[in-house]
Amino acid sequence: MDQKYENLDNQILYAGVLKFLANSGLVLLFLTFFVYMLEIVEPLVPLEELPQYWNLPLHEFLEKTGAPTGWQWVNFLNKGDYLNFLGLVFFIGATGVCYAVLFFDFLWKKKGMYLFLVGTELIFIILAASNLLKVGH
Amino acid sequence: MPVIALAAEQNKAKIVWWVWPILLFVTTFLIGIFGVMAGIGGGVLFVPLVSSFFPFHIDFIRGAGLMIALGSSLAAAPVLLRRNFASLKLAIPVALIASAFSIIGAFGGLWLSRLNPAYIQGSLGVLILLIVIVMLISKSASYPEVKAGNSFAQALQLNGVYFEPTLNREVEWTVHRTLAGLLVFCLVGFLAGMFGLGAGWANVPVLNLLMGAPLKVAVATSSFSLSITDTTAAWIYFNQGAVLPIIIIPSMAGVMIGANIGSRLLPKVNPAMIRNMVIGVLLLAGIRSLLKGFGI
Repeated sequence: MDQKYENLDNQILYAGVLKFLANSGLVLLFLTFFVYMLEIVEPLVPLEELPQYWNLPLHEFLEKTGAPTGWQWVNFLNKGDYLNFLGLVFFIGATGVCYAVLFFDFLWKKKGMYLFLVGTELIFIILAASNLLKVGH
Repeated sequence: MPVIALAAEQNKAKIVWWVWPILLFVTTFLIGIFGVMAGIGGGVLFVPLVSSFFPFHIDFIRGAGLMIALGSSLAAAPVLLRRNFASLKLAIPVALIASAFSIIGAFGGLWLSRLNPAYIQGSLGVLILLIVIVMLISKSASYPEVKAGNSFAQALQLNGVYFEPTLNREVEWTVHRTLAGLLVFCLVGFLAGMFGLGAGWANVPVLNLLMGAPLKVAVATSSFSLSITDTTAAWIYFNQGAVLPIIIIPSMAGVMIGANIGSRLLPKVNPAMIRNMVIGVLLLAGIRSLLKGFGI
């Protein structure tokens, strides 16, 4: 085979890490939703009161319910609705973890161009996840 | 018309809360089936349909739309990567551009929605009608002819190889018009972040018709790259608090189960008929979004 047309050798590694994280996230998501729906753990916003809030614009919803933003949800893990965020974070965080694996793999193999591209993407993901970026008022 | 709309809103308020997640599951189950059979994924159907006919605010629906597109992509990506249909080499630069612009789109969408949600609803209607036009006029090519010597593609090593079972041989591919393609992905990423739509409707024509990737590589890489593009925008919605598990989780379950059934039904149905049906539904949802944007 012509060397030029080879795929990246870490594509299979990426697929494996992604599969593990996506499957773990899915299991966690459905388990925590089950806990939420049965109100085994008391939610921040009671389920029967949700219809009063779910049609509100985001800023009003946050004001009226006292719902957390950014990483403050970690302090609300004793609430049934925010317990679901554990599974959601697995889903949203999966690509970041895969990119971190790729970054170190490219660093080890000294592949400069991919290191730059993957490193830049990783910076965007970390910035977005960090809650350092804010929308203006 | 406003009287009918008001009556519909009052009826929505009377429905007991647990009916909505069930209706959402049923709706997204159907979206999953038809999205796969029409080859567009569920994200592009979810936001206009749910924002038109469900009582949730569009901020939460867009957040859920991104999570659904992300979930579907994460579920499909490992298989597509292992079989070399999706290309990590092609996805890395394309998704880098799109994800950077999806951050800007996410903030733009939240800002616009805060000014007046009708701006988002109305422009979503316009976008959906444009998507209908793109779907009606765009063709696809299984193996587009690619002019050799695109220096940008060579520098980024945008090429690969996969085994094509229908030909019983390996297919080597590369791309061209790389700069033009990457520029279009700026817009695609922006729109994905702003409206919470999956971007398969745009990714596939850009990768296949503009950049010349084989159709199978374009579809698979599009599906995989959504997991990267939507990640940055999803973090923005997540951190701003625009995520409601009661909307997201039944919808993700519905789309994923529906997509699974849709992929099994695929060989037994007429894809052209399904595609036309989905275009019809999108047309109605686009018009409804546009009217809702005008307060009708």
